[in-house]
Amino acid sequence: MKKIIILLAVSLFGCGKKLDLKPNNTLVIPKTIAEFENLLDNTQVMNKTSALPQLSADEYYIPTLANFQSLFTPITRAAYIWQKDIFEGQSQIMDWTEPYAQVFYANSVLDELSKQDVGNDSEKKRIKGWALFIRSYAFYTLLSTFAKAYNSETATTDLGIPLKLNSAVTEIVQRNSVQQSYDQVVNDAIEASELLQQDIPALKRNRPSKVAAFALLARVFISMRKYDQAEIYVDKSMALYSKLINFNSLTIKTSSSFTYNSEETIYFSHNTNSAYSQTTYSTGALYGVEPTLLGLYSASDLRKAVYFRVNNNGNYAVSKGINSQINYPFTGLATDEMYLIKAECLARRNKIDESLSFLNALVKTRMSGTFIPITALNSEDLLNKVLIERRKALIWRCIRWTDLKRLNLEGRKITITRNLDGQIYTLEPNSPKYVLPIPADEIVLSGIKQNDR
Amino acid sequence: MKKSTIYIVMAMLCFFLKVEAQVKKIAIKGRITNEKGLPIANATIKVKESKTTTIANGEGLFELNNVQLGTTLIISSIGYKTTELQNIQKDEFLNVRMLTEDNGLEEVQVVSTGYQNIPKERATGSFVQLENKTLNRNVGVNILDRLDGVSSGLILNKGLTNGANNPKISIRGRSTLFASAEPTIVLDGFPYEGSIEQINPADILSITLLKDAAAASIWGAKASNGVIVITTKRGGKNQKLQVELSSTLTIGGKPNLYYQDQMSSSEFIDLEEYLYAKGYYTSAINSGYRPVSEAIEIFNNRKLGKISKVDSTNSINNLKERDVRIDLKRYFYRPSVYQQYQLNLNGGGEFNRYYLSGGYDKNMETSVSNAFDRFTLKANNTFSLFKDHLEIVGDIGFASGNTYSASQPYLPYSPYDQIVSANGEPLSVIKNLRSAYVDTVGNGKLLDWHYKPIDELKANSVLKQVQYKINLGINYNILEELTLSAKYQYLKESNSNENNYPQQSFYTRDLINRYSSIVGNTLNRPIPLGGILENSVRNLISKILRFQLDYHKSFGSEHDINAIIGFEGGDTRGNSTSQSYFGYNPETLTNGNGTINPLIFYPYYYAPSTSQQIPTAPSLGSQTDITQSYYTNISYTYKKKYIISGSARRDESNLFGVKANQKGVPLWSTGLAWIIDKENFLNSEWISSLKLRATFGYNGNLDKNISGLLTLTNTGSINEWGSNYSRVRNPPNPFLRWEKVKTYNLGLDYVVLKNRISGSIDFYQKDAEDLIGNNPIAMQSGVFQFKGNGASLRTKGIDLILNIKNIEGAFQWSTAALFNYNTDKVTSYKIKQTSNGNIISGNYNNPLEGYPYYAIFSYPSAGLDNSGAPQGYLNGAISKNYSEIISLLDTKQLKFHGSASPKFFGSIINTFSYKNLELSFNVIYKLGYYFRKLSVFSGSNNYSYTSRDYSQRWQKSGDELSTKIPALTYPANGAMDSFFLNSEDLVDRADHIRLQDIRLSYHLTGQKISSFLFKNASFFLYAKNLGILWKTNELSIDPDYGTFNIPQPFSGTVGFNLKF
Repeated sequence: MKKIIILLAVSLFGCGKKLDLKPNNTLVIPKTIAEFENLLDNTQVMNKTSALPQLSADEYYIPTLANFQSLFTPITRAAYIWQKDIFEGQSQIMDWTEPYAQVFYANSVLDELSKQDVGNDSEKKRIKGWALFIRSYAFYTLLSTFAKAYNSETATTDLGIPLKLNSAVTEIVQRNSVQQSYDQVVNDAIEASELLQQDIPALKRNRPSKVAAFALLARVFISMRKYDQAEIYVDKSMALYSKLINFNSLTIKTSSSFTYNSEETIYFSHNTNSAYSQTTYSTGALYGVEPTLLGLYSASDLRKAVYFRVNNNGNYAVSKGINSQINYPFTGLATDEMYLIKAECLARRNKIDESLSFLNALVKTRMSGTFIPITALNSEDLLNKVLIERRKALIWRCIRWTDLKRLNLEGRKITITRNLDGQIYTLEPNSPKYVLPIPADEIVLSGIKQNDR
Repeated sequence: MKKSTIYIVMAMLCFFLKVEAQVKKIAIKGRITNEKGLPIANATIKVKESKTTTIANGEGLFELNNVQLGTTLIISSIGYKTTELQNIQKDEFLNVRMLTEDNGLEEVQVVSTGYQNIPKERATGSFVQLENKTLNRNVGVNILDRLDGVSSGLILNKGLTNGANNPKISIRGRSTLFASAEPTIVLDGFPYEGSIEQINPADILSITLLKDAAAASIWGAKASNGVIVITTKRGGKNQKLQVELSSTLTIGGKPNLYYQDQMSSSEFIDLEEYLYAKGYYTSAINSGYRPVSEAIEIFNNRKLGKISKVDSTNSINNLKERDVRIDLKRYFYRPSVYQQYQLNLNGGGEFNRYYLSGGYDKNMETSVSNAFDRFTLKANNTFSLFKDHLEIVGDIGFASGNTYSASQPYLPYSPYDQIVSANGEPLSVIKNLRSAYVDTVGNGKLLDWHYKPIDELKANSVLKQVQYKINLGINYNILEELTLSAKYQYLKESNSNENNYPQQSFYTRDLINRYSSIVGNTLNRPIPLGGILENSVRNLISKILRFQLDYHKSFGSEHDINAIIGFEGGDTRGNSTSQSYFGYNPETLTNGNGTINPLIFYPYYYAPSTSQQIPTAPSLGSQTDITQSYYTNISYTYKKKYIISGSARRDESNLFGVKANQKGVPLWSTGLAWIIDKENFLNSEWISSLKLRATFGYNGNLDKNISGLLTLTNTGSINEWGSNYSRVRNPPNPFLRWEKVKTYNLGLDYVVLKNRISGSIDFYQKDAEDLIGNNPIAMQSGVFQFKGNGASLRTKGIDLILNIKNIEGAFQWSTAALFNYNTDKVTSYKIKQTSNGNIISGNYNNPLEGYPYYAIFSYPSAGLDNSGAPQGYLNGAISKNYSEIISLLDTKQLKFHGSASPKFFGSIINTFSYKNLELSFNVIYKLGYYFRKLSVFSGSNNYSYTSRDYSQRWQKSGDELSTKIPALTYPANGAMDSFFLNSEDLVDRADHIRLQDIRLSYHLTGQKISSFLFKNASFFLYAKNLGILWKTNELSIDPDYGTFNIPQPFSGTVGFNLKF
């Protein structure tokens, strides 16, 4: 007994350091490459983009008022007819919160890394580049949704997004200008391109690479209508990776023909909001691919069978999965988009033949039977054809919305309409409704300025 | 520290050998009983000449050693006339019969803080003592349930289920926002880390509640929510072997399944017909596999021309006749049967005392799948050596409990589900897939995919809890006035939960089928055939060591000092594992996990575009809780009238990611008491006892889940690309601090009118500061909320205890009343709210400055308009702009009702006794609070049949004059639903008075039945859940259960207690 007491006394008192024990063994203060990587590999947070551009664009239609009314989620209805207020008192809107959660994760990694010497350590450089890429990608999806399209004449006064550049959660920032916002997106992506490893991780396409950073820059610059810049970066991207899949080699199934590591994928992302599923990826047949758009696909176009499911009411739904194993809409960067950016830039520079060669290289892989190459009468005809191919190839990737915004800015006057049993809703070119409202809870808590719609 | 401890231990060892020379003295033993021969527990026996005092045990037994010859004993107990026994000349056994002054009193003389026992008279703090009889009034299996309605200042939080962080029990309201709000439970002097279900109430002697700073702050950082000190039974010294056998049998009714208002089958089918015509089900029908109800199938088949009009009408009428609750009640519920047995042996000799007990509980719950059994063993031995200079206490406890349940309960898909055929055969009903799909899917290649609720009734889940507890203690009287004690507790608890799904269970068949695929003629099953076993185990080992010095000395007759000083170290470690086994074979204990690739996303059979992983890896976790505390408590009594006390404590803990100097917190308290009745000026026969108490001090609390640094948690999951990933657990907060609660208490204990009226009144205020709050934060920060210190909360209240002896004599009537008043207000909360909608719906998470923690707000309602739409107010004008009403941030436009926690509560127990018969009943009241009803049947609730108030909705013009329930809307207007759900029309007063229980008991005591085998016997009948006597809401809603839960059905108990 005496001995026991002494032992107990020594064992307990002797361990003042016990106060430094972790209360929970799963707690980690991130320090190592693996710990940062684990954070950036969190696909519950990362690799997601806003879905509101998809809900607002003209790639789908709802055939009847009854179908429209049966939608569970009010936002899917309100966004379809471009209501002034689409959130109707709801808060914590994922289209806003998810990209900012990505920014927070990225900033957390950047802040922790800043306490270490990155130097020439290629792994640390890769992590830093990855975090910068994520921040750039998230800011871009926010800009596409909640800000006006880039217009060099008004960019310094148009309202962009709050540029949160550190992980201090109590520090609130106001909206920066569109110019500053795009500058941040571009600068982060350029810095990422300098730090990231060159190659796409073939089996981990949720992670960025130099190819992805260049591809992102190409996408951003084309949305800014800076075609020369876009071409510089699309060239850099394609120089490193430009592989296309011949769709004739795909197995057509009732579900997706792709895996998570589709060879065309440069960087993977999708929009997953299950609240919007009824008009984005469900099999409920309440929506269909917009008939005019559907009509653009020729009979020999394999994408009709690979991308779409025919519903029992005759509609075509995009609910199989594109560049993805599952049916959440793919919004990532892929080689087909690069071919189209290159083709567009060349067309805008009057390089008809070069442009056509890129366009045909892509379209050829999508067709069954004997391929008849696309030809063009002049550069304007070519540009129109490129833009049509762009619609067909990049369907369901939230790219149409930014295209509508930029093309209307250069005077293409695209008006889109909805018809609900005779009731017509119209979205005029350059309408303020091209900018979605910022969720009300953000406005109240940070006092940032709301968009006029 | 290490060195000095060894010195102390060595010094202690030396004293082992010390033998004091002693003058010949006598030992007195005795038993104190009342007029009926029933023992009086906890009477104080005082040796007049010296300061020696002892307390009679639960059986009225006491003993005093080393008493001088010819001594005089003064025996006192509140409620009894003080008795003096003079000039005792030899060792003898005294039978002391005390005359009743007042039988209504149930207060006792000694209170326990867990660190020391303090004579109640000398205490400055606010203590509530619950004696054995009070605890045994209620027959609950869980000791905390037995505190309901008998404990001053304590409330069982019923009906507060929808907010986060609601404790089961609150003592004196709330004193934290997001840290633990549970009171600390202390069992035999040590903080209890085990499961509360593992304590057998039959082993408990008494409970002390520590309410104010002076009482509780000795527990420092564990004290802010109050402390419940549980003391278990022990044997008496020089007491013959006593065998006690007790048992109860409780039978309860089936629950009232009609309590929750829902649509009738007929109403629901009419609604379905309406929605079908509108196209609401189109998406589900088109999918082919998503479930649709029987009625929708009929409407759809009629539309497609598959059935005739007559057939469809007949089928629909047939469905309308059904009510699934009839079969539910018959097949899913039974009368509950609870059995309790306890046998204990206790007694003692010159050198030791012992208490041995064994208990067995078996509960057949009203739900046929659910049952509980518990087996407890306890052995306590106290050795007194070297003429009582050395006392060694050893206590060993073992408890094993099993909880059985069905892990996949049946929730009817429709109110007209049919679960058995007319001849009693189990029928299949709709679960997660459409019945037409299930009938034909896979052409017989898949496992049967039907779901028959009756076949799933068997309990397949068992929670096994096993606990071992060892306490060792040594007390050594170094000097007459100084005692050194060392105590150690080791507690090990293992909880394992096993869900066993055999292959024939729906859960297993559904999972196997879901991931199956058929390519050509080949069936592929990623999940192998066989059962599924889900196993999770949580182990906990808690070790606590304490060294304490007790000092007690009187200087002359005027000065008296009592002090303790001690150190306590705690080390609690938990670890957990959980694992699923697929293809499990219980015969061979083999499984097929090895055949599953956990990285692959397997598509669903019915929806191939959806796919998931099948996780086969175990998940592991561990927790470590280290505490170190230094404490002292000193009290000084002057002239036996004036008492000053003080306590101080420093707690340190292994807080993560804070600077070392923030790991600890010093907390202190002080108290004053004045025993007024000892003053000469108050020499009135009307006042027997009067004591004024005033205390002030700090208690603490801590949320250990947060950290000062950026921390991650590895999720243990694998992403789509085969990478492990982690999430941010909390953003960095370098300013993290401990929560502190400043407590004031002013109390008066009184016994007046010749002991006919007695009790106490306490006024208190608690100012909780530095509270960790959930600060809502702009979404641009990347997090929804941020936890940090900065909030404060003020709680004020009154606890009144009033005991009245109404009638004395052969027929006796006494009343024991508890009255409690408690309000709280968030006095500071730095972060603003986002909108009125958020203030209402998220109030528990987002407290509002100036209002109670449980504040209930609503939108003012202007009733329905002439189309049945609800109307609110916007900037003073009647409005239907629901979005704006919700998004607005202006508390002036909200209606504040009050708190969801009662402002006034308490109980009144009336006891009537005549000879050996005693009848008592307990009436509980809760007043001054509010609750929100749930009532919406449109889109926000997916037009569910479980919605309330459907029959009362607006249906035609003019209805707006008689109803507040809006018309059915299609498509659903989310903002309107949200407005109405939170409008003032759905907030009601919760005030009610309830007849808690009735107890009738019969006692046979002592001499009267000495010729029988047993020397003491009591029998009782007890009835509980007798119903509400009065309530303010006019609906059939019991505010303790709200609109979410079903009230406990009536139960009746018979029981006995025999002593041999």
